[in-house]
Order: sequence, then structure tokens, then C-alpha cells
Amino acid sequence: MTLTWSKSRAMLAATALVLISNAIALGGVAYNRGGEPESVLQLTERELPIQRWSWPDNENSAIHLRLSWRVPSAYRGPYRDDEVEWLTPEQLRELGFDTPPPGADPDKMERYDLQAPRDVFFALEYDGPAYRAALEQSRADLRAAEAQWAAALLNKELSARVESAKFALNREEKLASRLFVVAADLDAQTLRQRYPDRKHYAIVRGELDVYSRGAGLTARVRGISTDAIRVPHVYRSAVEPYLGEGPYAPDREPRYTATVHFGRRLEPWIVQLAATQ
Amino acid sequence: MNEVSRSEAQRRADEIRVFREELARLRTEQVLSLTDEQQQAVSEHHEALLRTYAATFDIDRDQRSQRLSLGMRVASFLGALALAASVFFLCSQYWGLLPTPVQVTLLLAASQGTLLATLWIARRDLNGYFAKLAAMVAFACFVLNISMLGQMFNITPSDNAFVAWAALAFLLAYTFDLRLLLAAGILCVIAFVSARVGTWSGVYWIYFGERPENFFPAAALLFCVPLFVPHARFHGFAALYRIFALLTLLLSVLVLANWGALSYLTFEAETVERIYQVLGFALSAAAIWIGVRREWPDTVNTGTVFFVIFLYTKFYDWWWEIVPKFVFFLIVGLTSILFILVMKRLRTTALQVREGTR
Repeated sequence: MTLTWSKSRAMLAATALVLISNAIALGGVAYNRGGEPESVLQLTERELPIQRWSWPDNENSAIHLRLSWRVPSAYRGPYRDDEVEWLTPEQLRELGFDTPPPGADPDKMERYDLQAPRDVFFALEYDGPAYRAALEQSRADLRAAEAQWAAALLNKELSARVESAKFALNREEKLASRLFVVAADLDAQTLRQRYPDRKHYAIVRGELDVYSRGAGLTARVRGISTDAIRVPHVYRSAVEPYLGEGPYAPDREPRYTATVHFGRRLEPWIVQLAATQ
Repeated sequence: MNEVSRSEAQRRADEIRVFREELARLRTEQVLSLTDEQQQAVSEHHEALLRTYAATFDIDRDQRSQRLSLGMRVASFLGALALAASVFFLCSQYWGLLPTPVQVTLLLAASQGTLLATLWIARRDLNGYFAKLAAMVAFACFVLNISMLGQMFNITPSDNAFVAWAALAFLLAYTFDLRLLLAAGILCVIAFVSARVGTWSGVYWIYFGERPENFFPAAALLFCVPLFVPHARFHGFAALYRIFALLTLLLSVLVLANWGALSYLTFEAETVERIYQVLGFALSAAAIWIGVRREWPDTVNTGTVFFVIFLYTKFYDWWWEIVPKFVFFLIVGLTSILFILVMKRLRTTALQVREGTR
């Protein structure tokens, strides 16, 4: 029997395609959220600020919170919180990057610079050793600035440095995110074995990038695959009052807390969100 | 009479109009004159055909109708864009105020509803403009459907969405003879195949464009489609596959010919650039050759454009800094004249070959 193609049959096929696509997408969501969560983090506004979109996404009335993360770094300052200093050239090669040989010509690094970002797994640490180290570093910076200021007989220029160090410490204590990217690997299970505490370590997908610095390569966390988390409709009222305001200032406490689950596909969702004020 | 598509019917109607004009000219020049009986038989046959086509497809019977149809096609396209944008912003405006189950239901209803509406309109719309508009809106709703689900449930972005979008785009394109949706489907295929090729080397799929060689397999695949799948009933479809294939391939080669560091090849960047410059010339010349042999004007034109781009790029590299500007542009102009002479010779040869084979 020959099957003739008609508009009706085509529309039937199209309808089936739409239904199957939706079923696959929703089935994936059900799989991710089924069973025990891979990790559970209790976060605050510091780690989940409101996502500010640019046009046309800012026309969307849905509210998203953004996973705000940092990378432990010796560099002090708010603008380069994505550089990774704890990956050796050997580890970068294991992650699939091409690394220059020792003694490479710094003027011939363009090929290494242009490597595309790699799909890796990251370990996100919440309120752990990385945050305590950053806090301790800020306190040490303040002590050093104060000592220098006192030794210079209260020099005015150095007093500005003391104020700057105080501001940095205040920011570290009250504003900055306590989520840090502390490890990267091609295998999620390997990372989970290294960091078994599911209440303080979440394994997530992300992208790692490299760029040349002199004759070597520096790695950089390009992003987390799903870092904008939709606020469920039932919790909208906890966040909605703050939509029109700017980023929150360090002179007040976080205004909301959230319980974030990470599922079998390492995709996050908000399970509970409550205003603290 | 075998079942024909609207585009075939329109082509036949255009050929009948041209035939009548040429026949009248031949009669005036006293070259050929049909007898009254022959004239009547031909005229009745053509009128019957045109009446059937007009009743079934609402075709354009003259040039004025064709110009009006072009305007209707443009309006149809703009209307589809505007309606799709309206659906997108409608969703955005009220989305966050709705519970999740309602959102999912609305997304599904929009996709299914627009498909059903397309079918309903197609049954009543002879010339197909409204059906095409509805089909484009249905495609836009499906794209929105999958994208919004991803945003609602924080799904990791995946290149698999391109497969679903391409499937629907092709289905609607072939059902409603819509080249715009065919182009959308082809773009989705290019994105998916290139992303997959990129992930084989461990690169995150979104960055597939950072290595132009990722596009080569998609280009090869697209070029082969019309070779193995007949498209006689779909006017312009085969050409669209070839054009996109050549654009994908030759643009990638052009980028690599100027920026060798982007290549997977581990040679020095300058060596890679030279390799791809030679390849660029060879591929565009091959496109012209095969286009002439197979009578594919789209392939000839695309190959010609890129051959000229590669040539002028080399001229710039070699002479821009070292010769006076008037000499540079004189060389460019003379090369263009030489190119015209070569193409004219190719055309004459092709014509002779064709006449020799008749």
C-alpha cells in the first residue's frame, strides 16, 4: 500500500513531533528532579542575587536568581574573579587543552589563545575553606594597611588605603558570594569522590577557557551552564519587592534565603525561598 | 493529469504566457503561423489548464498579478515576523504571573493550536499566502515552546533542540512550499552538525563557531541532499541547499585563509592560511565548473563571488602596500574584464556541448 503525503498527514506528523519534543524535555526535567538530589545548598541573597537581563529578555516578567560564584585567587579586586590559578599545565592537558612547551616564544601564543572553551565539571564550594581564606586575606590586608599607616605617622594617603581595606573587608564579610569554584574535572563522579559533602559542595557543568600570559597559559572559568535559576511562582512574593532596586549594599543583611537542589543532570532548582526581613 | 504543486502550476502558467507572446511575434514576423484549427486547439487546451490551475491554486495569470503576488509575499513575511514577535512579547509580559502548570499548558497549546490553525487555513486558502504566514507563526511558537521550557526548568542548553526545530521547519517547508522555513531548517542542521563535530574534540558545543572546520561536514551533507533527493516539485529548494552549502563551506575557508590560528591543523598560522587560500581558489573554481556542467546558475554565481573575493584578497595582500593605488585598482579592473571573457568562453563552450548532445 502506498502512503500518499497530504497536508493532513503532514500536520499529524508535526503534531506528533511537538508532543514528542515536549515529552522529552519534560521527561528530562522529571529525571533530573527525581530521587535524591545530587546536592543541596542553603544560599542567601549574597550567592543568589536577582538576575538583571538586557533587552529583550528583560521584558520577561518571570524572576530569575543568578548563581554568583568566585574563584580563589591571589589577585585582589572585584573584576577578575574568574581566573584559575590552581590548575597546572599538566592538569590543563588532562582537561584537553593544548599547552605550549617550556621556553615557548611569548610572541607565538596566538594558537593557544584561540582554543575554544571546554565543557568540564566544576566543584562549587559553599562557605568553606576558600571563603575563610578570602576573609582572612581581607583581614590581613587591613592589619597591614593600618600598621603601615601608623608607621607613616598617620599619613593621609595611607589613610585612604586603610579605608579601602576596611571597605574590602566589609564587602567580604557581608556582600561577597561565599560560593567558590575550587576544582575542575572531566568526570563528575571523580569530583564527587573528592568532595563528598553534598551540603557544601555542588558539582555543576561549566566552561573552562585559557589565555596566554607571557610564555604560559592561564585558565579562566567562562561560566556555569545553568546559573540563572527561575524563582517558582509560589515564592515570587519573597523577591518581587526588590525587583526595582539596585544590587544590595553591604550595610544590610541578605533579604532572602533559598534552598537550591541540584539534580541527577546537575541542573538546579529552587525548592524553598523565604524573605528574611 | 498528474498531481502538481502550486509552484509547478505557476511555472506552467508563466511558460504558457511566454509561449503565446513568442507565437504572436513569430506570426508578425511571418516565420510561423498556425492554422485556425491548430490555434483553437492550443488555445482551448491552454485555457482549460489555466482555469484548472486558477481554481485549484489561484495562480498569477499575468505580470501585473505576479507583481501584486510579490507584494503579498513580502507582506506575508513581515506579517509572520510581527505575529511571532507579538506571541513572544505576550508570553514575556504575563509569564511570571502564571503558575508553572499553566505555563506548560499554554506553551503546548500555542504550538499545537497554531499547527491546527495552519491546517484549517490551508484547506481554505487557495493561493497559500495565509497558510504560509500561519506556518511561519507555528514554527516560531514551537521555537518559543522549547526555549521557554528550558528557561522555566533551568535545563542545560543543548544542541538537540536544533534537531526538533529543523524537523518541524522541513516538515512545514515541504508541505507549504516555503523557502523561508527551508532556510530556517537548513540553518538548524548546520548548527547541530557543526556543534556535534565541535564536541568531538571536547569543545563546549556553543563555541562551535570558533573552529571554522566544524562547518565542513554540514556543508558536504547539504550539498549532497539535492543530489540524492529529487526536488523537481519544489521550485528553488535544490538551489537553496546548494547555496547554503557553498556559503557555509567557502565562508569558513575564507576565514581560515585569513586567520590560520583558528584551524585544527597544527602547522604555523601562515602555512595554514596558504593552504586554505589555495583550497579557496580550488573550491570556488570547482563550484563554477560543476555549476556550468550541471546548469546550476546558483552554484556558478556563488562560486564566482567567492573566487573574486579570494582573488581580490590576494591582490590586496600582495600589492596594496607596494604599488600606487591607481595601479592597484587598474589591476583589479583588468582582472574583472579577464574574468568576464573567461566566463563568456565557458558559457559558449557549455552551449556548444549542450547543442552537441541534442
